[in-house]
Amino acid sequence: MARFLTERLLQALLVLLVMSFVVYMLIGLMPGDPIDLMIASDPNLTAADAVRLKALYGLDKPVIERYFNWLMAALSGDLGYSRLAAQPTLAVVLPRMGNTAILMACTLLLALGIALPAGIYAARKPYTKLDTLVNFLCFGGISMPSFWLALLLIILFAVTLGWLPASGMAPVGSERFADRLPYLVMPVVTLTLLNAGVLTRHIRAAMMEQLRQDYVRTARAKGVGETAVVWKHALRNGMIPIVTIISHDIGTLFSGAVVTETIFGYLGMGKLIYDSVMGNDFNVALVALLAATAMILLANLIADVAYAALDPRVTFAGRKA
Amino acid sequence: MDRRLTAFAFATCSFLSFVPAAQAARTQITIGVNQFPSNFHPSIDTTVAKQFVQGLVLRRLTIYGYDWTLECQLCTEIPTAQNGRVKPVTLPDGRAARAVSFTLKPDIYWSDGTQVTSKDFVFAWNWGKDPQSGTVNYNQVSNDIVSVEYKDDRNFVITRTQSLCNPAEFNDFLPLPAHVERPIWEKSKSDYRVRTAYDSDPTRAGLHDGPYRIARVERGSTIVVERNPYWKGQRPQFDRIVIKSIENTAALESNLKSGDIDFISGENGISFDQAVSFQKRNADRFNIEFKSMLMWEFVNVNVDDPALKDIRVRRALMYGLDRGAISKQIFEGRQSIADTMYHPQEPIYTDDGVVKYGFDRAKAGALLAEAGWDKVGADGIRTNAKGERLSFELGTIAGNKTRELVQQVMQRMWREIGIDVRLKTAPARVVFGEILRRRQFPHLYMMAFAAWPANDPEAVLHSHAVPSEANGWSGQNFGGYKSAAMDKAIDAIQTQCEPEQQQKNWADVQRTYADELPQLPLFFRINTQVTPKWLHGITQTGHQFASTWWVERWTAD
Repeated sequence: MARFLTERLLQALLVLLVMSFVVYMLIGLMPGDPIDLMIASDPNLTAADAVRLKALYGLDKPVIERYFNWLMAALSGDLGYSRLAAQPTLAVVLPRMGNTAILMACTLLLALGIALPAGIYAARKPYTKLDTLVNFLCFGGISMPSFWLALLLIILFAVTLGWLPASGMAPVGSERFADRLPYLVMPVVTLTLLNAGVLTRHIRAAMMEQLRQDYVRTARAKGVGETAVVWKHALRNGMIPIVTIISHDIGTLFSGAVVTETIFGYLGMGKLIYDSVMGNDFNVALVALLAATAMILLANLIADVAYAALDPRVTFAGRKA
Repeated sequence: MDRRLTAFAFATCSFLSFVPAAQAARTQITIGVNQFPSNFHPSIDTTVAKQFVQGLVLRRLTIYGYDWTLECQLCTEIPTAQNGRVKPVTLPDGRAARAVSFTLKPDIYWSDGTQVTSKDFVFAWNWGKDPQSGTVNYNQVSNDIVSVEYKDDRNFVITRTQSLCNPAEFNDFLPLPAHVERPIWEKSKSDYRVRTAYDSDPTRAGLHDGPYRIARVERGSTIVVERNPYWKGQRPQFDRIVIKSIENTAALESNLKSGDIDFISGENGISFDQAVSFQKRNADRFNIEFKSMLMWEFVNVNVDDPALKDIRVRRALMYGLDRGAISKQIFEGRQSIADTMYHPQEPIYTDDGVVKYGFDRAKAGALLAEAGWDKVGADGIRTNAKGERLSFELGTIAGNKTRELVQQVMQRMWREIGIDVRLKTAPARVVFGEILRRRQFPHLYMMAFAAWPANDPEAVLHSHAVPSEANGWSGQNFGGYKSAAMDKAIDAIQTQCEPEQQQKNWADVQRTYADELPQLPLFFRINTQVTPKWLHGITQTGHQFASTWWVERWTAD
C-alpha cells in the first residue's frame, strides 16, 4: 500500500507540474493585459512609459520565461501576490478553499442521503409507480438550470416567506460558524437537488445490475434477510461505480459551482477561478486551478483506496486477486 | 376613584403597548452593488465599484458636481486665471505650462486626527511619478504634472504641462496620508503597490479623509464604513453604511425585495429592462430613477475600409437608422439620441450648426447612389460599378443583451437601404485586448464610452490617437479617423483658454464631429437607481462621479 501511495503521489506531482505549465500558457495566451488596457485609455502614455510599466508588472518577458520564474519562486514557497486583491495569493485562496470544502461536504452528504435510499428503493421496485416518480424527480433535478432554481429558492424563502437570508456568507461582523448556517441552506439545497438526481440514477442502475447477480440469488436462497442482501451484499458491489461518480463530483463541485456561488454571493473557489482568469490575476488563477486539480487527484486516490475496501479482489498492485 | 384611575392607566398602557413605536431613526443603510472593488488604494487601479466606495471615505481636491461644473471638495476655491490662481509659465525646456495654486480647507483630517496638508499631495505626486508606483494615473503624475511645490501646510502649487485650459481638473490625483504611507513606500518602493496599508490593513485609522472610514472588509462580499470621527464637514445622517456585493442582478433585485439590502446603486446596479419591470411591480415601495448619463453609445467606423472612407456612406448609415424608434421600442423612449459625443447637459454643449441625422431612408438611398452604390441586386443589396456588394460586419461586446438587440434592429434598418450587415460578438476581454486596440475589426464596432463633462476628445478623435505599433497601440481612435480640421479644433481647445475662444473651439469640435462622422453616435445611456421611499438625497450625477461623493446629503425618514 505504501508503494502504491508513493507512486500515486509522484504521479500527482507530475500531473500538477504539467498542469501548471498548461494553465500558465493558456492564461498567458489570452488577449489583453492590464497595461494594454491602461495604454489604450491614455494616448499620452508614451511607448517608453508602456515599456516601463510592462517591466514593472513583469509582462515584458516571454511567457515561458515568466512561467519558469513563477515556478522557481513557487518551489521556494513564494506564490506571489494577487494582482486584484493586493494580498498574498494564499491569503486569497485558502479562505475560499475552506468555504468550498464546507459547501461541498454538506452538498455531497445531503445528496447521498437522498440518493442512496431513493436509488435503492427504485432499484428494488423497478418500473413501479414509485420508481417512475423517483425517475421523474431525478430528471427534473438533472435538467433544472441552477440559476433558475437558485432564484426560485430566493424568491420563496427570502422574499415571500422571509425565512432565510437571500445571499451572503454570514451576518456582517459575525465570526461564529452557527451564524453561517442559515446562509448555507439555499446554496446547499440548490447544489444538492442538482447532484442528487444524477447520483440516484447511477445508484438505481448499479443496484439493479447487482440485484440480478447470482450471488444475490444465492444469498436469498441461503435465507439471508432482504435488508442484509441489499445493504451488505448488493450495495457494497454496487458502490464501486458510484465511488467513481462521487470522486468526479468532488472535482466538479470544487471548481464548477460558479453560477450558484455568484447568485448566492457565496465566496467559493469556482467564482475565484473565474474572476482571476478574467482579471488576469495569474498567481491566484494558477494556484486556484492547481488546487482544483489536486483535489480531483486526491478524490481519485481516495476512490482507488475505496475500491480495494469495497472489493477484496482489487489489490494495490493493480491486479485482481 | 383610585380603582377607575388604575383601570384607565392599565388600559392606556395596554393600548400603547400595541401601538407600534414611532420609527426609530435609521442609523444604518445597506447598499447593493454588482461588483466588489479590486482594491482600496486611491490611485492604483480604477473601477466604477471602487470609485463608489471611495466617495464615502475620501475627498477629492476638485470634482464635477451635480451641475456638471467643477467644484472644490478639499480646496477653498477653484483656481482660475481670473482669481489669479492660474498663471502661465514657461519651463526651462521651453514648454508652456500652468502654475496652479491651491489652498486647502482648514478643517480636513485623516481618520486618525492628523490634518490633511500640502505634504500629502507632494507625497502623492512623488510616489505616483515613480515608475514603480503602479498608479493608473501614471501619465498625469509623471508627464503632465512637472512639480508640486509645498508653500505651507495649506498652500501648494501644481505646475502642469497638459490640460492647460482646465488645470484644476484631475483624474485620480488624490492626496495620500504621508504619515501612514511614506514609511511603507520608503521601505520598498517596488513592493509598495502590494503592501500599501489601503490593502494590507484597510481599516487602519488615518487612511481616509471623507465623512466615513472603512471599518470592516470581507473581501468579495461586504464593506462596512462608519463615521470618520474627525470629519468636520456636514454630519452625515447614518452611523454606518454596509455595501454588499451581489454580482447577479436578478439576485440583487431579490435581495432588495427581501429587505437584505435597502437600495441598489445606479452606478453598479440592475439593467434598464429589470428596472422597468421592477417599477411596474414595486412603485409603491421604491423610487426608480432613470438618469441620462454622460455615457454615449456609438459605432466605431473603420475608415480604412474603402466604402466607409466615403463620408457619404457614413452619412447614409446615419440617415438609415431610426434611432427614435429604437429608443421608443427598446428603451421606452427614455434613452436620448446623441448627435455628437457631448451631452446636452454639458456646459460646452451646442447644437448651433451641428448636423442632426433624422431618419430619412430616401436621403440615405440617394447618398449611397451618389457614392457609387447605385445598383440593387436580386437580394436587395446594393452593388457598385465593379459589382462589389455593400456589405459590412457590425461587431459588439458579447453579453450585453440590450445592445445585442439594438444591433439586430440596426441590421434590419440598414438592410432596408440596401446594406448587408453581418453581426458578430466577442467577449469584452477580446474586444478591448485585441479587436479594438489593434484595430482588427473590418468595418463597424458598437460600444460605449463613459466620460466626464467637457471631456478632452484627444484620446478618441485626434489623429495621433490612432492605435498603431509605432505608438505602442495607445489611443482610442479605433476607427483610424484622421482629420486636419478636427486636429486643429482639438489643439485649439487645449491651448486657447479665453472663455469665448473656448466656447467657439468646443463648438468646432462638435460641428466637425457631426459633419465628418468619425463615429456613428447613437444614444446617451440610461442608468437606473432603485431607492426606498424613505431614503432621500441620493441622486445620480449623470457623469462618472458617483452620488457617494455627496453622501452627507443622504437622509432618511
